[in-house]
Amino acid sequence: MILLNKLQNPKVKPAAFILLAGLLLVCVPHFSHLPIWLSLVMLSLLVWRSCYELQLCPIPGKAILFILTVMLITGIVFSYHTIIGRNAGSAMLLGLLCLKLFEIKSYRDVFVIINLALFSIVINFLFNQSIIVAVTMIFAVLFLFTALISYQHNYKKLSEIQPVPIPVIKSNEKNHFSLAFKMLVQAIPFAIILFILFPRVDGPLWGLPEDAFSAQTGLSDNMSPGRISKLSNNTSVAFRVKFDSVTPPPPDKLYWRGPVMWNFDGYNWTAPSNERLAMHNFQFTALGDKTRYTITLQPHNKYWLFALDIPATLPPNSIFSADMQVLSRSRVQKLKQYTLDSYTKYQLPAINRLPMDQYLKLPANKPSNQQLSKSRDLISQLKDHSNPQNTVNNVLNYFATQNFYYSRQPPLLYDNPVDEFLFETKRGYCEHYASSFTVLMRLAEIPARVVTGYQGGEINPIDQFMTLRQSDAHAWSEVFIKDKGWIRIDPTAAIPPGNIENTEDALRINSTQKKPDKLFKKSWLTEQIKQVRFAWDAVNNRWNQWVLGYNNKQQKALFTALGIKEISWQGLSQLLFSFLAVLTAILAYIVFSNKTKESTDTQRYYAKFLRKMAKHGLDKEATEGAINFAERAAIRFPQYKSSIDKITTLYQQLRYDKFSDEKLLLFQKFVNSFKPG
Amino acid sequence: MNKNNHYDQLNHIIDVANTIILGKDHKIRLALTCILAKGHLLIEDLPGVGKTTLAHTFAQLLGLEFSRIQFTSDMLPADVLGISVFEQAANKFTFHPGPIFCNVLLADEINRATPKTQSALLEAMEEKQVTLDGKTRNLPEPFFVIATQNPSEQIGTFPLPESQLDRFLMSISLGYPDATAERQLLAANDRREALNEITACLQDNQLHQMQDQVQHIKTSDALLDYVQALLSYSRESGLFAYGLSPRAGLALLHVSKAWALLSDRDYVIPEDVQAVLPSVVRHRLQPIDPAVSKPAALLLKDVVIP
Repeated sequence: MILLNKLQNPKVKPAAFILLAGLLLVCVPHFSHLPIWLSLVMLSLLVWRSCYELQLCPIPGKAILFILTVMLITGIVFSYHTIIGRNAGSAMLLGLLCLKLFEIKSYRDVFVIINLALFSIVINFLFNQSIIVAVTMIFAVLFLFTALISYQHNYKKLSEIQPVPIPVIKSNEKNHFSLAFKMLVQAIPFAIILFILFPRVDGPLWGLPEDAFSAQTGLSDNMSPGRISKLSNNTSVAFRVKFDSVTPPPPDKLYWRGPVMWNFDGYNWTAPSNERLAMHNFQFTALGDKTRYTITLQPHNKYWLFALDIPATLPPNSIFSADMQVLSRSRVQKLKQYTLDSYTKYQLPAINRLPMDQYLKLPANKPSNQQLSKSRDLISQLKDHSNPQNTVNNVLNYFATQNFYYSRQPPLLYDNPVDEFLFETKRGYCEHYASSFTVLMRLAEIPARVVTGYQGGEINPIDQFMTLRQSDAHAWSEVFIKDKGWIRIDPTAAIPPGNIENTEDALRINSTQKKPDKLFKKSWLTEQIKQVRFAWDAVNNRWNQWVLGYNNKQQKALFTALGIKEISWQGLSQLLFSFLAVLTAILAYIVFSNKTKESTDTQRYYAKFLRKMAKHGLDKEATEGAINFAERAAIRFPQYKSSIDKITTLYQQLRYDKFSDEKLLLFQKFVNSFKPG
Repeated sequence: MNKNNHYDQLNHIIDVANTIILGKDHKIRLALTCILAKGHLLIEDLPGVGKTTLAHTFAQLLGLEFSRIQFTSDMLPADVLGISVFEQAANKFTFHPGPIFCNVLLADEINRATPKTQSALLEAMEEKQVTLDGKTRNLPEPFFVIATQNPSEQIGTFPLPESQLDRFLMSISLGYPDATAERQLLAANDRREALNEITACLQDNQLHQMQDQVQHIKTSDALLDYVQALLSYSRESGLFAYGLSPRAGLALLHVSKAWALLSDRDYVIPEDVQAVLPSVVRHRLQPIDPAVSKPAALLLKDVVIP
């Protein structure tokens, strides 16, 4: 109740709340990366200012403000150990922006705040370029513009000394809002032209500080099975694939190769970087047709480019490593798109000249613990000396029959992870299986390595893009068998379906075994949720393909499609400025021609009045003057004579006398409130 | 304040004129509009409907000097403009001004005069000055001609050519009074006597001020659009022998402004244009279809107010 009364207080300025709402919209997306204390401080500062606007509490004086500022800066220095760089810099700016709210003494301060807030909108895109942030920022601009217009309007009213009190109706925030909206809409053509024609360069236009890329999620270049007790269920997109062919390769071929790990110290698998040898003339025999696909890779700040085995071509600026991985020459720090050809059926050369020692290396035995002793016993039973392939099958069979479970939350493993897993816990996810399988192979003197990457992928029925999520991350093994070369073994797939704890996982894992999905019935609700997710994913994908993925290559492609073969950035700039000039000229013509806002707005509302009259059976002749019509209308509806006369008089004044905003507002009000019948 | 004052005075003039010329309020307003717009008025009507009374009334009300010429076919320009006569006593020519040297001139039955005399009058009307024997003499200010014309089917007339008709700002026809007015007219005393009793309502330069004020009436873009639409329709519709001239357009606008002043408004609305349009285009437009007697009706019916 108190709040309501306060809101109705004429001293309470709605413009202030519009400004605060705009600021809130600017700040909210930042909360995901700001320290929690800073998010809370910013929120409370915004709330404090709102309470002041509602005249519920005072604002801090200069001394308190100074102390707050010092505390804020100290806090940021403690959190980030610096005040420069993307993260600390933006935290600083946003915090100070919220503090600036308590320094409003004149209109100038308000305008400073609004300008800073507009700048902070740009900062948001340094962190997140998703469609949600973009839409939120559009609303933020809308609110900030409305606040700007409202403040400007009040400012004008105060500075103008009006000799005669004219019947001004109170300036209306709704109108300011629609004006701000109109301004945004008018800016759209400019934005489109700038977007399409602004010369794109290969690298980023300006350098971002290093910390801008620190917190990307994704695969890592080391793996420690048993150290993490819970597999995260991160459904964020890793990359999207569009196959040229109508049907994608079968699920058992959908292994997207990422980092290959071969160095094992008993706990950790790592992929030492010195192994990255470019292999220019990699030889293999293709057994089937090649598959062409385009990958849109989310930035992960690593060098890996994912590919199906075995790529026949390489994207530009990339290399092919000795362990068959495609690597970019520079870190993938923004959305990257590349097209590849892969042969999913292949025969590797029987003899590989690589030294095999590294793929047989086992962790050195320490006297303190008897690492791998049980595994050694096991493999001596399972090993087939004459045929390594039999050894592989025996081990897989061991996984299938000895009560192994697939679990997202396996027990932790300590001193002897491989043995503990194989003989005690028997619960784990892909990393556990890949790791222990590889170790068993090495114990059997079969060269083996762990391959990480993504497996499977979900085809979005809406746009036929295949999506690979972080939760699709997978680890499997590769063994080297003489005469066959490296072959892929996925030990996780050996687990019987009944031993998988989670239905979704069972579906995913068994998809590689081509078992029918019908085993697992899905509820109607999950099906619906899935459909919504598909749709949302398709939208996100379009956003990625068309907006974020619009680079110089696509710009070139666009111009080629338009018949312009070669266009330099100078040409683009010329084109850009000529388009902008033409657009400005068109807008100027619209603004300055006689069909101005004034006459059109007046006419629009008068037409609304006429429609209302027409509903009651009284039509105005096109050749009839407004006053003549009003006289006719007053005879027909004497009870509305006064409103009809008011509307008509205002219409005549607006259209044929001097136009004024105040009169237009009054006119709009009368027309809107006119309700005959 | 000034404006309201003028409005009251103008209303008073109209009220008084209404007591003399009965049942012709709209025509009186049009005639007054014509005076405010500094134009000349052509009345096309039969004799005896009150043309002279109208002219006389306005001269009296506005405090102006009135004279009248009855045109005949043997009239010479000198009969209108004046003549220089040699005076032996002074041994020089002395100019004897003709009846045109007045404020309100009633040129009765102008189509009875020969074209030569007609054009002498019309030239003087346009230039507001008379040039005789190489000397130019200005006509008094204000100068206002009310010309009457008998319907041209009568024998022995010289119809005014279109170019000459264009000199008249407006053309009206008074027509017969309606039954009530006629009854009042018949029952009351002689109008002429009443005419002598009325006194001037305006001071020396007040009419001049009002005429100045007409210039300052606003015309918005929307209104100019409407006027242009009317003009182009008269030219392009094919309903008229020839369209309205630019001068006619200016005249229409000017008269509309004066009409707006009469309505106590400082801006013109389409209704003003519609009200004065018949009298402005009556003598300027000739419908191709001889059955159409009122050209303005066609325009009003077809041209949409933008």
